[in-house]
Amino acid sequence: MIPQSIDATVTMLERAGYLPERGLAATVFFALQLKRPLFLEGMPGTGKTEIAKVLARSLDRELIRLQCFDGMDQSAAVYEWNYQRQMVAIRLAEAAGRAADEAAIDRQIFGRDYLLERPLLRALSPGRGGMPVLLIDEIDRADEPFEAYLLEVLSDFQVSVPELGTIRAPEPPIVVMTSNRTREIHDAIKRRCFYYWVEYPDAQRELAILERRLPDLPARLARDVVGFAQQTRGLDLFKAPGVSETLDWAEALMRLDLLELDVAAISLSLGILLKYQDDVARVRTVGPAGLLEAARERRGDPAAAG
Amino acid sequence: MHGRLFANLAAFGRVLRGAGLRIGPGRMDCALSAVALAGIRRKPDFYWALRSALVADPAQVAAFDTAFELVWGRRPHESVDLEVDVWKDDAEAADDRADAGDVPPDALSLAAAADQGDGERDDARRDSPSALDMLRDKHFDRMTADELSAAKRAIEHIAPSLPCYPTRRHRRAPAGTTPDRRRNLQTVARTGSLAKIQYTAPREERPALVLLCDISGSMQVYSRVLLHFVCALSSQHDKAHAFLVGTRLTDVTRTIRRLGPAAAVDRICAETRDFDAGTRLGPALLEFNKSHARRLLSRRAIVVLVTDGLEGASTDVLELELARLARSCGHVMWLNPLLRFEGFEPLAEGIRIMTRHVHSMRGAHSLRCVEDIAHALRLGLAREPRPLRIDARAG
Repeated sequence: MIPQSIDATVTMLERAGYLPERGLAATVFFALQLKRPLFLEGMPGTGKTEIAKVLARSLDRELIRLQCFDGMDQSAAVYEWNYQRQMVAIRLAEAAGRAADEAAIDRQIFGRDYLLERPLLRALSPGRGGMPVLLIDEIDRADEPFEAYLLEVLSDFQVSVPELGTIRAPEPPIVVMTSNRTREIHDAIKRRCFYYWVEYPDAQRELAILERRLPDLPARLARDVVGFAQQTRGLDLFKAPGVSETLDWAEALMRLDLLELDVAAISLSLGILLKYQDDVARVRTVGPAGLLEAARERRGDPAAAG
Repeated sequence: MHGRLFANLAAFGRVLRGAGLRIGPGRMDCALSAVALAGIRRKPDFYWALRSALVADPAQVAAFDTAFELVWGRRPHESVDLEVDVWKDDAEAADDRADAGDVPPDALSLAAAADQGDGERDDARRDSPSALDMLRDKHFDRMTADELSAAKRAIEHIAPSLPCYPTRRHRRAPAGTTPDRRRNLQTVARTGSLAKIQYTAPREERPALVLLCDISGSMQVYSRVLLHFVCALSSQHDKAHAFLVGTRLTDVTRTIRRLGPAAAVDRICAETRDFDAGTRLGPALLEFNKSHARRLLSRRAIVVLVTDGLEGASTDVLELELARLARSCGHVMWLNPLLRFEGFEPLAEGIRIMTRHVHSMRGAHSLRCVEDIAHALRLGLAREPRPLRIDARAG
């Protein structure tokens, strides 16, 4: 059920375990109601991909994921003929002596069931519950010719297969595009979409996410984890930890049966929070103890001296 | 959508474009649909409706926020009842002047906001009222380069426009009052009866505007600034023309449209060698009347002369040509930077001649003067009786 107001969108997402900022919920609402793509840009690990999954779950639609990569072309993204099957069909026809009837063989091997539908084409057909959610993930990894092709598809939601004709979507699918901003996406694509820049959450929101996802997490540990993660984002790291890293780290620390964070635990598990060795080294240089203390002071913790 | 809200949204789009965001009609359309969905009750929702459609880059957010605050008032995340703000004229929202319904928008604040789009949002708010007021009254020849740039940008935002007048030709108009004889007859001839009567209404046109700018010596500063004014006008109005008067008359209309006003003046100045010979308005007007007046002027056309009137050439020629010019057009407006001096009196012969023949005289030395000019143009100029009463506005 497509939400009918921004508040309803927030409720729908929260029920599915995603705690959005109001701006993101508003943007999702507009995109759903006005049937335009949603373009999410932001640092890795901020929940851009997650929201597509949550939308598919909440609206009970199929999720079709197109993971972009450099050099991706039509055969990977849209369709490909099942050449092996076509070859086999031709051989069988030859064996059965029907090789002379070219027209019939043509019709057979260029039929819809010999077409391998890739994500973009699959998204044009309605599925369970309605049109699917098409997640075009990390579009900044694809190259410009692909962007141009995508623009065409997103304008009309139709694909032309020369042998078959034009395949049109009865109504537009729900499109979510994500980008890590490693390069600029052409304005022509962004112009068609509702745009949102996904930031790292603030301490309050991150804590709420942690509490929601890991209800068994001790309160003090949760606050320490969030505080420390927020502090590391203030450092000039190559890749600041995202929400998913914070969640993984919190879960790992929970397994250590800790009630609150201490320097030893941090040293052991820093590799879960930070994915680059340079970043780990940097935090070690700065001193995890100092960061932890700063985090505690910031939230006014009386035990900051710890 | 209520007309006022629509107009304010369009103005918001213009401000954003001035700040460097590329907002085309497609994006604006998107934004309007989103606003229709979000409603205007809650400011944060209204803000997100506009932002999700118009901003496509995190670098643009600061400029967007500044523009939003300026046009709609108050910080975007305050949950204040927005209805009061969206119905307000953009002038009232930005600057609480509630006196005249015709008050021109606060161009300077819009341009200043566009300037300071990236960062220092608080500074812009703190500095805006006093700094802008100072700039508005500051004389162009005393401005620094930065201030001049800001003034030029403000002029582009002033959005001068000329009122339309009806012409003799008609166009199809369902809501018109004159029946369209030709079409009605055609319908009867084709179908045998007249099911629906077609109507026409007079076509409307804007009058031509010709700017004649003196670029000799000290006049250059003023001319440069006023050319921006013409630039802004000609972007909406294809009957706006500009000429430069140096040692000869040069038509720069096309050059301005192609290169922009600053480049056009630079180019002309590079070609003109002698500035110290004083203004040679008389011969320039002779040239204009001979070669261009018939093509460009009409009964309602407005000619704007930007000069100090200190004629270096023969005053007889000046008088003759000025009289002819005044007869060929609807209104001759003289923008005289000497009016910045209080107690200005027309003593020089050239100035006396000009006051005898022009229809109105205004100062052109500060931003406030330019705003007044735009305002006057918008209201429409009527022939004023001569002799001219000199209203020395010390702006």
